[in-house]
Amino acid sequence: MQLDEDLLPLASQGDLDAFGLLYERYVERIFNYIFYRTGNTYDAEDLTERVFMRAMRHIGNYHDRGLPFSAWLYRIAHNLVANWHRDNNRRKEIPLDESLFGDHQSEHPELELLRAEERERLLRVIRCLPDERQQLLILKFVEHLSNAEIGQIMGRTEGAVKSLYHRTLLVMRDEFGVNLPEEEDLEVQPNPE
Amino acid sequence: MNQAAKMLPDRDLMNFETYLGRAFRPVKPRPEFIEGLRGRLENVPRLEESPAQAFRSLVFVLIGVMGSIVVLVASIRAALSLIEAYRVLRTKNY
Repeated sequence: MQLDEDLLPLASQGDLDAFGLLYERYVERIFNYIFYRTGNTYDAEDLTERVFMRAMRHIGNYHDRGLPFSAWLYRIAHNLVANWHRDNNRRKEIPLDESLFGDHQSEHPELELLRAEERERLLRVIRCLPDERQQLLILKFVEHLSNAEIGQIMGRTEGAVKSLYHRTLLVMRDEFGVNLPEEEDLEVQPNPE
Repeated sequence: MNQAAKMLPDRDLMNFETYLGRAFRPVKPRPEFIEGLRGRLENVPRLEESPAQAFRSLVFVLIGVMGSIVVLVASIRAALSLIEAYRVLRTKNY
């Protein structure tokens, strides 16, 4: 597998195959990030398209100054999502997409329903958090990035990310913690992947 | 803030972290979207700054800076002239 560092010079010289490989490598991650920030498939697809269109247009101006290509993409996505929230002013009333909750068959529909309600409540709490904390949680739990990688994307040190993460967890636990699902409930949840 | 939640021990923070890890489920974009976007990307014109464009940008920046300096100097000279005129008028009055 070719590394990003090998593909980037080719992509910046107009090699569509090289850019295509980068696109395939990151499109799902960027889509996931945007999906969790917007809450619906249509806007997530629209914004994901804009991210890659912008990346494609400006890749000639991308210079590796210690910032990985993925971090550059996430920054573009973050800016576009921020503009989207500002333009639409619908942050508090984002419809939650059904595909988040019910896109796979379950042997326990009632359990699936409970999980869906639980997740919906969780996402409502998350969307009340400041932008940077939402970004941190999504990068941590959806993208499974390390604190160092998140720091590169957010322009913070690893320590600052760790601290922000801990404070965010405390806030969320206070909001959500009393009705925290029992261990058994967690055990029966199938692996989402 | 919920008082009861404040009393939860740190163990619950770890449980909550585990819960978050399971609640956030990666979402798959539609394959037709992935394919469609890939096709559209192949027709996007790239904005790459040529040396001539870079030179033009530099010239514009220089003209802007020079213009600002000229305006600043002219403003200072005008202010000094006004102060001087005011002083002369006051001297004549005495």
